[in-house]
Amino acid sequence: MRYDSLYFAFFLGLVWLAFVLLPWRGWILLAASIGFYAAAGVRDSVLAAIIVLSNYGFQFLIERDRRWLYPALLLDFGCLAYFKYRVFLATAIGFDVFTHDIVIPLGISFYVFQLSAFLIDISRGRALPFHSLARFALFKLFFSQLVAGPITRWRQFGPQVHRLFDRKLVVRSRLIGLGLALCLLGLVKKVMLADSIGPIVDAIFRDGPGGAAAAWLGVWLFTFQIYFDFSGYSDIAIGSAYLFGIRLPRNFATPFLASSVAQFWQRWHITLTRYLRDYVFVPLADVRMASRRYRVSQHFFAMTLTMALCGLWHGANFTFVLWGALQGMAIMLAIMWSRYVRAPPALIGWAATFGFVVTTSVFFRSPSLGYAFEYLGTMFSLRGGFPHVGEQALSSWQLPSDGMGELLIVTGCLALLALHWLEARVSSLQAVVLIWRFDGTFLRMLFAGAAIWLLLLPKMQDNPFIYFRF
Amino acid sequence: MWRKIGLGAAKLLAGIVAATAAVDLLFVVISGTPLRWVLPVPPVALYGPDPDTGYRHRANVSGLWLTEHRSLITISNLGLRDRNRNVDHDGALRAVVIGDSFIEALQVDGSETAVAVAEQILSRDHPGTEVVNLGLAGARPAVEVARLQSEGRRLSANAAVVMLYVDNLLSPTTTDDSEFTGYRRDGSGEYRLSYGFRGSSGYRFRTSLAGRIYYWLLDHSQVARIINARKNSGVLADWSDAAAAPAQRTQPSWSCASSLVDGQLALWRDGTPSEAHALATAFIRDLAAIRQSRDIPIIVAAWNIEARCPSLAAKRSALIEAMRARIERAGLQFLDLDQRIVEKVGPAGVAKLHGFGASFGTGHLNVEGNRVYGEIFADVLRPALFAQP
Repeated sequence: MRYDSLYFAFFLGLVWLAFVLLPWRGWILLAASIGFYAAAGVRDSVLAAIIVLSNYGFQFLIERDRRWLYPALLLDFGCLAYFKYRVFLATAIGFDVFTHDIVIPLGISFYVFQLSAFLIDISRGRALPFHSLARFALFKLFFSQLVAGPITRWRQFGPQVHRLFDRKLVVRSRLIGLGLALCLLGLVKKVMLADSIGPIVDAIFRDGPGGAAAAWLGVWLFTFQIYFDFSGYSDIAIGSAYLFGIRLPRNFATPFLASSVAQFWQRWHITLTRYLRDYVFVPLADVRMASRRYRVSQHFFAMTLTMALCGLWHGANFTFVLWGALQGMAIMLAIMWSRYVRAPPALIGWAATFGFVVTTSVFFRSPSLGYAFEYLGTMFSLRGGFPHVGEQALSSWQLPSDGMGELLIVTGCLALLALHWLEARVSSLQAVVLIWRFDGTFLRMLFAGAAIWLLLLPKMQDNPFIYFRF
Repeated sequence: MWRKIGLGAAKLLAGIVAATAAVDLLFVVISGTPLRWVLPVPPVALYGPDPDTGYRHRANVSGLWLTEHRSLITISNLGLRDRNRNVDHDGALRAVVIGDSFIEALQVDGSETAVAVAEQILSRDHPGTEVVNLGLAGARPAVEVARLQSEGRRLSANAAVVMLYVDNLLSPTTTDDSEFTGYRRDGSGEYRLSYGFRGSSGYRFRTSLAGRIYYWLLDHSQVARIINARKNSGVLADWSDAAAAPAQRTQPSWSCASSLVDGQLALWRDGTPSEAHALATAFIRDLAAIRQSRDIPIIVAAWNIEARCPSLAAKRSALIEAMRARIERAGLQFLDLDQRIVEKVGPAGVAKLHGFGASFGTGHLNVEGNRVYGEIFADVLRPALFAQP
């Protein structure tokens, strides 16, 4: 069930009514979440049930003996590897045993990370096991964040789950207006922006850009498409959770305004970055592998490996791995630069960061490494055409040849950046205070009504949320 | 307490009205600026009721067409997918081209349709010559005949090209008159034009006062267009939530299966199936009657008979001869449109005449396709118009 569909709006409305009118709030959300996930199909539901039940059992074992963590993680990541990476891994080591790829179970990348974080936290004494299976299931299955995050920790979400079932969770009415505003913002990003940009990006990457300008346009638009798509989804997820009084962590903080790559990753997919930092990078960087004088090298290696894994998490393709490794190396270079060299002016730092993010997005979007390098060649060589015209293309993608068309495209690209800047201004504490001040029936109906109109807008083509594939 | 409930309801209503107004304003702004070429907008509602064909374009309606390729559409003062013009043409020659969505060509600018191209070519040598676009999406043979009867007469056409999408004669929808004009058997067993749609509740609504208010809203409100588009596509049409891959390009290929020609050959040479044969007879008979009563040349442009397959050449030749014989025997002219297209652009060039962007190679005619079709129409209309006594 997609968040940008009328089905989800009806579903959300019904669940909210039941939540408000009936006393069993935790159970209502659990039933709704199970129903929500059941719509994904029997196979996905059975797999999710197996993982929930096994992790429910493992949490008690881990509390008693932390060595149980390893089989638990093996099971969780084994499922992830089997369903998401089996063809990739088998091919990488030279075994072509799996002839057919399979559809990745809905949200598996996200809930495996969330459960593994929970189990590791238990082993570290930073989380407490759920004695109630229902509470544990809601922690894992809550429909707002089930499919594509935010990846929540026990300390953020666990206590809220307990308060829901203990009927102690106070649903502050002012959160409802804010939640609806976030849902509307997310829909604007998804329906108005990401889905409008998507077909142009698809055409450029499918046909191959006809020149350097077309290549830059394609990757520039893709960078914004994926931002609007995923941050739009995250806004809807956080906003719909607010309707039930649940606070989920923020996932984006206008990342394209970052003035260093390290800062970019503190503002882009924040919950994933924190997961990787706490459960992958820190253990790798802290482990005693080398003498003190090679510490920097170890950190460099740890960061590159962490981010390469981050890339692999996005998809079973070497393009993602290289994309992640480049991010890791850039983060380390940025950190070392700030340590040993005077920081550049903010504008230069921003331009370099944004340029790096846009350029490396080519690896994220390209179907293969060969294609990515040819695309980069077209971007930087200023040559007239793209050598690797798509197999099904009749010609490469060309920019409009009239001056007015080019001017409009440049204006549109800059407008995307301006919108991002505007979002930073609007997503401020003052804006939240303003919504709280005027919160009431009128404002809520204004937000909900506008959201419904956007959902009613007929879609010209199928544009599922990009991160639903991961 | 009642006052409190009333106040709450008023706020609720005010919120909905404000949201509707804000969304309407947003789409008005988008539609009025270059943003309309990229951002989503509600599609224009072009069609209204018509007693002759069941539906037709509504005069002077303007808005964005979104399917396949965005284009800004303005329906003419005469209610046609055409430029504005007077009904009288003061002695200058006028031809009409009748067909379905390929002739209607909503995917390109009004000046780029095949019919507009034909007019531009013909009027270069013979100033004042007009070629009028009577294309209408979904027009079946019965609708084409009805349209030629009504619009052809109104416009006092001097020549007509009627597109014959050959598969239509084998399609059961040709005999369905519940929404549009269809062919139905009369008391003597012959197929005649039938207007069953006139008694349908949908048609009665569209021609009533409520229907006129509905069309007024469609012309003046963006949210009314959203509702209309949603009604047409299905209220919950976006249920396809599987994380599908982005739409892939359709392969620009064609089939050379013998069955494509066999069915048509059986129809035109052997007269089977008898139902389709009777339909073809009625279609040709009605066109011949118009030609005779109006004394104008009518060119039947047979279309969708694959001309790119050497393996089908013999069968195709037999089919074309059978069609030509029957159509010319009725006093009509015959045009093998597919063959003319292949002669102009070559077998490999045909796909490039179709589709836009992600669907390049398949679908409706693109700008280049309309240009090629326009040149062919000009070629066949020139002798039809100017060789007349």
